[in-house]
Amino acid sequence: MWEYQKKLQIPINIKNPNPKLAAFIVSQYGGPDGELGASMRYLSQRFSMEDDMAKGLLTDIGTEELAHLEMVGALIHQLTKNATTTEIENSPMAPYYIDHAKGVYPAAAAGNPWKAEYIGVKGDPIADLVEDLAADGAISYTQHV
Amino acid sequence: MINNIAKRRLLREIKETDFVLTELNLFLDTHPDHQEALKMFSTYEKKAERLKAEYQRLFGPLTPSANNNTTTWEWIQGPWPWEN
Repeated sequence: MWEYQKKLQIPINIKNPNPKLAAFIVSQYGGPDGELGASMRYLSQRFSMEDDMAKGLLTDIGTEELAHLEMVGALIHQLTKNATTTEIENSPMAPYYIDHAKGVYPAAAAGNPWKAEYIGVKGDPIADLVEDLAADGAISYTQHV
Repeated sequence: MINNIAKRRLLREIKETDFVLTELNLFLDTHPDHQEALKMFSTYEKKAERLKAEYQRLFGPLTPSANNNTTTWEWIQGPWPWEN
């Protein structure tokens, strides 16, 4: 189980609204290589790990990914909170705004809602750890585009 | 205002300490007998405990279980972490 700590892992304090940036960052929340997928991947795969090292590691990484998810959510919130309707209308955030307004919704950059299909859980430690390596490779790609 | 700056500074110090602890935690998961890392973990854990006790005494609970105000449920008082 978990106990929430009333703090972000790293401070986030955005002064200027930027709906365009928010539209890009939303994918890191609920896109194919986002933090929601990362946390669900590790926290689900750990049940079928066989040794204590892997069980502990996946539990702790999955927990840290939840802290990342919260920070990305805070980024989207702060980038859109004080944006005007006109600013949003003239940004790539416009289609998202129609359905979600200034809410934080797990979706990919192109608008597809988060899918469990983004992650793999095979009940086999080797298959799952290899999937983790692939996912981490994908994340290092997204975070450097 | 001064209170806010002090609050932010103390919280930042807690975050820095917890960040070290998270990294050490992940390292220790795969190196459970690494003496130097174990020692560092214990040092930083004591520092985090001290900082959190001070923060909670001055600015309210960081976890629901740390709410020790007997007249009001201080836990829900904002700002919440995602607000600035």
